[in-house]
Amino acid sequence: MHPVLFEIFGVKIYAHGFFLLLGLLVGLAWLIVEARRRRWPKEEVIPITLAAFVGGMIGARLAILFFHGWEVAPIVLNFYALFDPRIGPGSILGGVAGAYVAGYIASRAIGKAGCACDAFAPAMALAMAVGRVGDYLAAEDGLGKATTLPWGVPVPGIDYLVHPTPLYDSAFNLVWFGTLIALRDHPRLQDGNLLKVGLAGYAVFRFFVEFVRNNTVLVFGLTGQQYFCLALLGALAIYYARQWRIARKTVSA
Amino acid sequence: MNLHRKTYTTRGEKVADFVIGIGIWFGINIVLGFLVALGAGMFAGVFGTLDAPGSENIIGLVTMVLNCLPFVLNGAALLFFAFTRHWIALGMAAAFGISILLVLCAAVLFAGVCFAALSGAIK
Repeated sequence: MHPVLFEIFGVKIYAHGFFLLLGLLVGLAWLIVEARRRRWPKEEVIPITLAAFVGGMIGARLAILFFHGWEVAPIVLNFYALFDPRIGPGSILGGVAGAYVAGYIASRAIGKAGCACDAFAPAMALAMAVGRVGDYLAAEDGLGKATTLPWGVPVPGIDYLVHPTPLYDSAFNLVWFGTLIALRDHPRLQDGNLLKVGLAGYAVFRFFVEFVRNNTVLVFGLTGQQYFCLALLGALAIYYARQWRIARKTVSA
Repeated sequence: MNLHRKTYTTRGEKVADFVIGIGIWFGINIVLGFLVALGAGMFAGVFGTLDAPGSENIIGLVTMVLNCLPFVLNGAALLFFAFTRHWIALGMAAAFGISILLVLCAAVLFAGVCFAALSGAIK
């Protein structure tokens, strides 16, 4: 583990913050490329991206209350703690939810017709692939549960090997990024469908990887993050079932 | 509530509202921060001297509610302006976003606290 990535004139550069920032910048760069390719005007890109960023950071922090319980409430519910660089942003799942809601509100506020949010899907996967490297180097959350698998890694202060779960996350997101790029022009994956597929794919992966992570178990052996993934998949299933019913009615009429 | 949506006709109007948004965000949050700190301090000072049973819990709860208030007010203001004068909302979001981005830049120089560690989830 390398929580301190390197030093510049005696100033330590921490891996977690460095890769978090790098992930956001790489994701933003990809979003700009994708938005240009889709001919998405900057009058729409800027407010939606800005709202998604702010909503994402708030969602990431507030979701911690659900995932880790009431004992973290004094920090999570403190607005000004959002601006404390010593405290991590929070949960990526909450961040994704917050970004989605805020982006949607911004789209409605600027009176955007339709949805151009598909440009976000590969950008989010790429940002997570980069950002998770920092979680691994910082040994965040103790990385994962004990394992005897050959790729188990040591963590300082623990005398057994553990699952390098941030690297699982990073590898999945890299593959998922490639998949979303390959699918981005598919006619049935437009108007927000690519983003929904992107979120669903990550939710499925995250549900299973949670079994080897160190997050707090809520009830029935599942963590808050797993319940969140199930809720997200359930919401998407309801949405597509309704869309399918509307399409069938239209065809029969 | 029937919200009237402003129609922008000139670039000057947009720029003016954007700058107002930035000013509102910093103004509101600096004043709120001061009032929250003052309110929490006064409550702790007055209630702490009563030596009532469970006073620490009540002080903690009140402080938490006061610290949470800016979340509600910022969210309400952003939503209100988003559907009335959206360039003000954009200015507020820009100020908010740039502040968070600066914090993320600063986080490169700090070992961030992990929430799982705070909640004792790591066994």
